[in-house]
Amino acid sequence: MSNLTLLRNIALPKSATSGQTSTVGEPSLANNGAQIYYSGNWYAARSLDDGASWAYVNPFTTFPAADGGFCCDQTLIYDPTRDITIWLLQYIRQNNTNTLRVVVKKGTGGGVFDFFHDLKPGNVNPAWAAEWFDYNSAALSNNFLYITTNSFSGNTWQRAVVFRISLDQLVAGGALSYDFFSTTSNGSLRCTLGAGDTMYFGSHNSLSQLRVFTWPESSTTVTFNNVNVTSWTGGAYSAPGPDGRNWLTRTDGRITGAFLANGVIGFLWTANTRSGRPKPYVRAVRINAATKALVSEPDIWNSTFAYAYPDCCANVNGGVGISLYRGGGTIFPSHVVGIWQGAGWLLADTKAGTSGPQDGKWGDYVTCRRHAPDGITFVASGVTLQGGALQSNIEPRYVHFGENTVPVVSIASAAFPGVVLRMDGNGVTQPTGPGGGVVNCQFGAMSWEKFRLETQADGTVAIASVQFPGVYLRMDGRGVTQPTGPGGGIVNCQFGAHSWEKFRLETQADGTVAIASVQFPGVYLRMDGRGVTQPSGSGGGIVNCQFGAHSWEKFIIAPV
Amino acid sequence: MSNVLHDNSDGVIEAEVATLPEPQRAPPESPSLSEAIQQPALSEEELQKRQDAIGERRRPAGPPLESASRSAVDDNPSDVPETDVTPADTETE
Repeated sequence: MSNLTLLRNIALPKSATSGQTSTVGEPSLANNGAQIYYSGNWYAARSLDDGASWAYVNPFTTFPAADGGFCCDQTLIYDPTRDITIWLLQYIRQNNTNTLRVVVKKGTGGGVFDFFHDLKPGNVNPAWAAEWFDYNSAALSNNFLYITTNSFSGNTWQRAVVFRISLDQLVAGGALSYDFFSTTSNGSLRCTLGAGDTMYFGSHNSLSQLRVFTWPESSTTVTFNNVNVTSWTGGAYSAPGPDGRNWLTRTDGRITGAFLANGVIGFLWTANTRSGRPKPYVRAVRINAATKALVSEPDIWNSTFAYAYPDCCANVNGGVGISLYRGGGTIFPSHVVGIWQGAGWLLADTKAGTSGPQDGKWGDYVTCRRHAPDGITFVASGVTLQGGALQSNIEPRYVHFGENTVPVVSIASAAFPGVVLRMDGNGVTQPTGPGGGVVNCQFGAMSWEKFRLETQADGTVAIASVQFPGVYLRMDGRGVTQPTGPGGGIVNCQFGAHSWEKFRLETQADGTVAIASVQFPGVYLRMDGRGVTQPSGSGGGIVNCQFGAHSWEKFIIAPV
Repeated sequence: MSNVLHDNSDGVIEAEVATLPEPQRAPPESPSLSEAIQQPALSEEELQKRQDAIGERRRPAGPPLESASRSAVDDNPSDVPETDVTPADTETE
């Protein structure tokens, strides 16, 4: 049983990227209902139907030219309070400077974008005229958009900058007055996702100390605190996979994920090996936002493979989602998502890679965002190599995931004590007309006898197997029009919940529950548990349909 | 708390203020624009050139970080259990 559910886990087709993928994939995304914007280093795509279909969007030609042309480092974020999708694009350095473009798309549908602003170093501060911006990220508070970037002269780092832009002004589409904060002491500043009326952002002071910046919405003053953390190491990272390719050649220790959840600031980054950490791993620190005291350091590590490139965000309830990669040893670089569970991280693969990158180049980031409109689940981007080691083998993924809050239950016969509903969903991997698998009885509830009762949009309930994800109880009640001794119809499995997989749970006078088909009025789930007196590998008894709810159609549904 | 160090001399920094002019707006959607948006941007050769141009290392993340001593790292008392992945419930693939 898992408390993590992948609600959508789909690969973008080649047509969505126009083949412009790269192993330094840098996938980002933002969703607004069924509208999803997705970007990579050199492509963008949009779906208007929750990922069922995608349209390629060419970032080179969608917008007017700037500097040496479109470069890379795209980032997306959606602000539900103003209903705008914000899209950052970086342009190629020309004459020692470049442009960071801030694109705004209002609402859904229609054109790809509505308008954009350009941030150029020399326009922000004339003293920066010979500098260029690189490595951008975006975050939101109640009323502001924050954009972070590094500024370089040639390839020499000069400063890190945080721009703070009023969301009200941004959505209005006029001229903007904005604040910016810069520092020459700390690089690669990362703002927390999940901020409210105060933004926190952070950077390393050393390999054992963080600097946590505090910027209230109501102030132009930024304060900071230095927070000691357990020492870590940087340097050259290595975690070759089964093909011997080291996918961490570009990895460094910059903070790549930051969140604010329930008064706790989190910062995450990739750290190198040390005693007790034989592979590179994700360093995580949690800090009390009010006192800046270190709360905990729940690293994500494994002794046989590396974890790297984490991004994370908080939901409206203070839950935290994470998107990252793992790989090395027997595992090719693979994409992973997860949630914070209060005492540790619960992670799941979204897709296992089949190769490492031919030239060892991977990264530089993934994205995790709060889903809109629910605000509780998460969306994540990531890439894997499928069928080869080349850029063209990169497969970007869109993942919608969250904590599964639907309790796990068993469905026990009221007439046959100890007998429960059993579902064998082996081989049921796609919807078919006649359904498949086996539904019968078992003595005692083990893993195949555990279910989730998932409430559907129309208020009915689908009965989902815990053991076989995506598999549901199916009832074919054709011909069942009056009570008969042996019952009738067919009860088996279906992939996905459609009309024949929907039920109403009808509480009986004695407190038991009858399970009524929505498709076949008057038809109920029947369980004949005779002879089922001990557990058996293949189960036993009969589960089928009955017209009306009698003693064999009554159940006790209880958490397990 | 001992892990929180307040540096009162450097702990406050004023942000600066700047402005951006009116944004540039999207032109009305036209067939030619739609076509341009959907044209592949880079040839295979150009893609490879871009990939080759990406450095083995990222540009610096910031100023160099002072190293912790190796012994400080190896004596690290902080520990948490290993993290493995577990199968998730999957509703779609």
